[in-house]
Amino acid sequence: MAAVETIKPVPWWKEPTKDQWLAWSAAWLGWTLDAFDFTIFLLIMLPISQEFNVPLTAVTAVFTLTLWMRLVGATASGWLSDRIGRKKPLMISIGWYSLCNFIASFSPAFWFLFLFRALLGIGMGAEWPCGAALAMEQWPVRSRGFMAGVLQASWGIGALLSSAAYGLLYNSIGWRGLLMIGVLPALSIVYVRRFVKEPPVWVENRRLQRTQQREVRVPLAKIFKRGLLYNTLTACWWMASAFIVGYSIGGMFPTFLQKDLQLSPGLVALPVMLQSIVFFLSGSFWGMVADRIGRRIAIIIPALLRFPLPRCT
Amino acid sequence: MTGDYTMIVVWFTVQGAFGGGGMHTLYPAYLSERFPTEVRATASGFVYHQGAIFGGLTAPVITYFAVNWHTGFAIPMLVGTVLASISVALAVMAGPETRGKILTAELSVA
Repeated sequence: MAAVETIKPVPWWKEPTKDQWLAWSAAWLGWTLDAFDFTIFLLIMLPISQEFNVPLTAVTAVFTLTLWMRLVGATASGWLSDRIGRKKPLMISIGWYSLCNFIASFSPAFWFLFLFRALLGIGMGAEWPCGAALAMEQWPVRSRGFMAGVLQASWGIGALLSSAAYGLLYNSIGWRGLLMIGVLPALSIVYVRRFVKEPPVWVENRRLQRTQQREVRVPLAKIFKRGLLYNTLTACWWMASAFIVGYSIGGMFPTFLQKDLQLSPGLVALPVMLQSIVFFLSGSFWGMVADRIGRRIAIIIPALLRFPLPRCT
Repeated sequence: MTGDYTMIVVWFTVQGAFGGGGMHTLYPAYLSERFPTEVRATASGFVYHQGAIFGGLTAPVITYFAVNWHTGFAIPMLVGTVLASISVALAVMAGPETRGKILTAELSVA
């Protein structure tokens, strides 16, 4: 019996190696700061529309366009990172969105802001596929779902930071100052460059492609060919539905508080911050469920639990 | 929507637990596990963000119904959320279960 007791299972957080932690952290940094740069805009749409004297719908169009440009960025950088590795596209994308936010802060006119926020969308989308592939390929399988949950839910941490920045700083530095802060994420590029290694799975896969001369040069076409097509289409269906759920309420919420209820920055920031914290906690919890019971159940249950909620409105 | 500040804070927070938290956080794991290494980043990046196209259309569509059909924001938001939630459940049931999947270096679609 004693012998059995000495073989204690390793706790999940001791299982990953240092390289695996470093890779996950890089994806985490990129994604959290991505969220900061994106969500800060949701909080300053109204003051921007007032300064440039454009209707609020024009500013929300910027939001929609930023969202669409993410598809361009994500596909391009996903492609690039399947071909040249996860690290370089990750660094490029973080630099890209940081810089665009910074430039947008100097906007002399509305079209200028529109342009640079649209370009920013490319960088934001570009960050995700490299970060996700990097973290998930590195991380051990046992706690992968949980750490995926923590990673993705850290969007909430980014939103928390941006609403805190808005609540504390808006009155002194204005929307331009808040956009300017968005350049700070660029510092994390140094970290990625110095400490992060490519996932061994990807390195080996790439080597096999080269040595066996079976290169996948156009991965985007591959996922629409027989074998992967059904998988791709059901996944697309899933993601489209998930986005509709997410943006039915979330996107316009701060504007609703500012405009219809005339709330001050501090009061607008509070519900956004609380929601972000809860988002982070519950997202991590369902990640754990995904590891214990299954991926699908951890998505289906919260999806079905959700729909009695809007009735409270 | 209610105009009471406390209610709004409570409601928006609870909404974060389910609407946000639960169903939106498995993207990296589930998408990465569904596609082989040769195409993983491209596939997950594309699949995830094509959803954003629909997400981006949601606000204008809801606003259209709220304003032109004189329904207010609550009803189109409710309808959109319920239908899309059911759609999420169905789509996921149609997909594979990938818990415990080992990501390998072997070529599978090359």
